[in-house]
Formats: sequence, structure tokens, C-alpha cells
Amino acid sequence: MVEQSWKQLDSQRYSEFRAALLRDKGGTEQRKFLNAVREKNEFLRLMDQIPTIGTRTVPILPTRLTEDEFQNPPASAEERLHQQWKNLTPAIASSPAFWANVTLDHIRSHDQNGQPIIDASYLAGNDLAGQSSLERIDRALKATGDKASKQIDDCVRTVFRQLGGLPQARGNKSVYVDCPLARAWWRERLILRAKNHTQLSARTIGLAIRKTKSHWEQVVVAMVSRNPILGMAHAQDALILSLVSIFNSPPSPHVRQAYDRIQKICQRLCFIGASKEFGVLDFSEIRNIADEIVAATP
Amino acid sequence: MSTVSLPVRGANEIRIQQYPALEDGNTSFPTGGYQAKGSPSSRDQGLLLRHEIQGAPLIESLILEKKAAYACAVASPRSAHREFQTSHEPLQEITWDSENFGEPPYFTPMIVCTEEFERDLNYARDGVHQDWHGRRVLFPKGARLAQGPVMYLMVSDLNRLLLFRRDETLRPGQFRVTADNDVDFRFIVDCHPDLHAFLQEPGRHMSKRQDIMTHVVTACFQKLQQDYTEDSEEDGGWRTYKSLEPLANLLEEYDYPHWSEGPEFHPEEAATLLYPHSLPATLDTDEGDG
Repeated sequence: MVEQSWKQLDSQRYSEFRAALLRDKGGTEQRKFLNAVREKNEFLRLMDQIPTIGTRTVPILPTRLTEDEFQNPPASAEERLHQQWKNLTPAIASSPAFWANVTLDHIRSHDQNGQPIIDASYLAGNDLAGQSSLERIDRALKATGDKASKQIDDCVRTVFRQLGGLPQARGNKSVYVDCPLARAWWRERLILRAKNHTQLSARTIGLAIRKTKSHWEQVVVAMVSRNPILGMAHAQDALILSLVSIFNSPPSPHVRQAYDRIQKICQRLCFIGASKEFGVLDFSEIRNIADEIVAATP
Repeated sequence: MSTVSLPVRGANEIRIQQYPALEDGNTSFPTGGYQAKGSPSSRDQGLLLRHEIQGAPLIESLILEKKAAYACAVASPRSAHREFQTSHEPLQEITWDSENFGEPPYFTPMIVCTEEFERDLNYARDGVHQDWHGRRVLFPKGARLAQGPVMYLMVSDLNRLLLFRRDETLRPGQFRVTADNDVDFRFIVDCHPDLHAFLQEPGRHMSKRQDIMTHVVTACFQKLQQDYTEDSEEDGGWRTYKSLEPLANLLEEYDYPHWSEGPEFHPEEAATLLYPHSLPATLDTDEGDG
């Protein structure tokens, strides 16, 4: 039996679509695009111009998400999401064209009350700015002066990042960090795999991994770098469990301190991995190395 | 005899490693060398890797004793995946499951210690530099005794960056160049069917084909100049795409500026540098005074 391929946007057409819009920094096309993001149907009409390939789809989440739940899904939502999408492979789950199609399907679909699962405008949201996605779009569109172009361009980039990731501008990490649905899947995948080595619950491991987006980003950067020392599954598991110990040992570190510490730990582990091949070490040997680094990194 | 750590004598001599290794710039094995050559295997997802060691009897004997092994890391940074395969034979078949690889794999051939052990080194027997002679050295598990350059499955010269497709919506003689960066990087050249057929089989009109190709390559460089000037692997930019590196290296060989260097770079000049127009042997000159 020939297995169906996963449904995704035609990657070449999607790349061109993004590239053309990003070239038009602050211009008419970007403005039109942002206006479309405010209106679901117009946004879908634009995106439907990009053909799709493949037929196999993932189930759509059944209930409507608020903007905050979309940007920062609660642990329970990420667990449910991964459970429903557990058949995905790493190959497809690292594709921006795949996640863009999944996100678009959530904009197209409705819950039992006839409400869309997510609004297109959510894609422009930036939880750091302390404003809703619609406010952010309006502010960008009304902006004048030197910064107007940048505000519009930033907003368009945010849409693409959250739709499926924007590796053209942010590298491999973008899918894992910027696209909320992809991020949820990858985080839960790593948490469940790390759980196989410990008595800790998935929730406890998840507390550390989901602490903030920037903590997660540090771990991802070490996993997707060009020479991915931390690409080995057992090395990822060891790193994650060692990081959990940071958050489980009181006093709980300040967010910024934890970020710096995770960054140093990842860098140190990659440095050691550059001279010692983790591929021949077993999980406990790498875990010991990671624990020693955590202990030696204040 | 005790285990010793050699003083660091500079990165180009004995390196920081506390054991002798075969690597560029390391003189631990004065006449030593290591290389690995890849060739297609009979499987779809397979590669035959031939490891070759010269002038390093120590490493060969460690492999025979099964304290070390030929190995290869197979990685896809894009899908955060890396796996490791070992062999005690110099001809190693590497296989992988494409479901884990979001891109054509990277291969890093090497020789690694598979256990920790100590060894008394002998200059004449082991082929090591005299500085190692008479020392007892600790070889940690996971020590890389040799490492080859990273290899890609995809041959990445400019021709392999181009994918030609028929597009019946285009008019006769038309073509369009777009960039696809979803799985690494390539240019898609959509052509009217007649043009597509001509480029495949130009017959005796090879120079015409060459001119069209120069035009195509100019369009490719324009795309790079427009959209791929950022230069950071970590934060995106052209270095994210390994298939673009040979093209960048080619320009460097010609001492021509990179496409990220702003006004210094002219797409048509770069294209005609790599693919110059060929002119007829005798030019029909206009004798007028214009």
C-alpha cells in the first residue's frame, strides 16, 4: 500500500509568496496583506492562491482558542494536541509549509458553536508588546514617519512566523519556536521521550521546558545548529532532565538568570560534544556530563 | 609509567587533545592521513562509506582490538535529528529512515574510541610523533581519533541548484525563475514547454542554449541579491542553506564579491563571469562612424 503524503502548501510557491511580501517592506502589498489578516475570508482567499500537495491531514482541535491560548497554549492543550498528532514524523514536523497548512485549517474550521477555532488576526499577535493582535495591526497600519515601514514589516513577519515559521529570516529554530502549533508538538514530543528515563511526571518535566519561550529557544538552538551535537535523542533527553533540576531545586531562579544559565549549559555541552562523540555514550553517561555542567554553572 | 597530559603546543601542532588524533593541523601522526569516500549504495536511503587510514598503525590496531571503530554521524539539523552508526570494517554501509530527516542528510565520517582504556605509546610501532613516545595515554570513550569533512548527499554545484519545469501557462520563449527554500535551497526555472524541450535537447544550437542559461543564472543571482543577503546561520540568511555554499565558494575563487555585498555585486556580471557569452569567431563589424 502506498502511504499518503501529508498535506502541505506547495513549498516553492509558499516561499515565493513570503519572499515577495517581505521585499515590499512597509509597501502597498504588505499593507494589503495586513488588512487581509484582520478579515478571515480575505486572508484565506489570499492564502488559497498557494496550491497544496499531499492529502493526509491531522485532526483539527475541537474547541475555540483565545488569542492567549493560541500564543501560549496551556500544558493540557499541548498534551492533547500532541496526542492527536502523534503520527507526525520529525521530517514533516520541521516543515514550515506543513505547519502553515495546519494553522490555516484551524482558521477555516469551526467549533460546535460555529466559532472559528482561531482567528486569522491572532497570527499578528506579539505577546511581548502587551497589546492584542488587532491593536497591533491597527497601530502598524496607522503609523506614520520613519518607523511606519518597520512596524508594518515586523507585523507581516510575525504573521509568517506564527503561521508555520520563517526560517528564511530566523533559521531552523523558527518552526520550533515561533509557530505555536509546531512548538506545542515538539515540546511535548521531547517531554514524553525524556520521561522514559525518569520517575518524574511529564507535567513536572513540562514545567521546566514550558517555563518561557526564550528558555525553550535556548534548547532548540542547541538541537538544530549546523553540527547538531544535541541532535542525538538521548543527548536531548539528558539535557532536558538536567535542566529540570534547575527549576526543581529551590529557590526557583529568576527568568533572566535561568535563561543565561541554560544558554551557558547548552554551550558547554556542545563544546564537550565537539571533542567527545556522544554517539557512543549511553544516556546515563551523557546525563552525568550534563549534571556536572549544571552543578558547575551558577 | 603514568598517565600524562601533554602541554598545549599550539593548535596547529598537537592540539588540545590528550591523545594522538588524525585531523588537519595535528602532527600527532607525522605521516598519517584519514579520508572517507562516499558512493551510492543499492538502497534508496543508503550510502557506502569507505574509510581509509594511512600512516597510523596505532589507530588500525585499536580498530582490530575493537577498542575503536569506524563510524559516521548522520544528521539533519532542520529536524533536530542525529544518529550514529559504527562498523569494524572499513567499508561501511550507512542507512537512514527518511521520516526522521527533514532534508538530505549530512554525514560526518570518523573513527572513535568505543571504550575507555590506557595505552603505552611507542613511536616506531604506533606511528606517533616522538613527543608521544614512552607516554601512557588515556583514551576516553567517545574520543575522536580521526574525523573527515562533513559530506552531503546532494551535489551542490550550480547545475544541481536549478530545477527546470514545464509551464504551459507561459508564452513561447518565456521563462520564470523562483526560489524554493523549504527543503534546503534551489531555483525553480519554469519554462514554456518548447523552451523546456530546447534546453533539454539544444542539438547544434548549443551556444543559444548557453546564452539562455546565462540569462537564467543572472535571474538566479538577482533573487539571491534581493532576498538572501543576510549572513547568519543561526538567525537565517543564506548560510542556512548548505547548497548555496559551493556557489559562494565559486565566486570567491573568481575573486568576485558575494551577493550579500550590496552595490559591489552585479548579477549580470557574476553570471557572465561564470558563464561568459561566446561570440562568433569573426565579428561582422559595422563600418559606419557610429
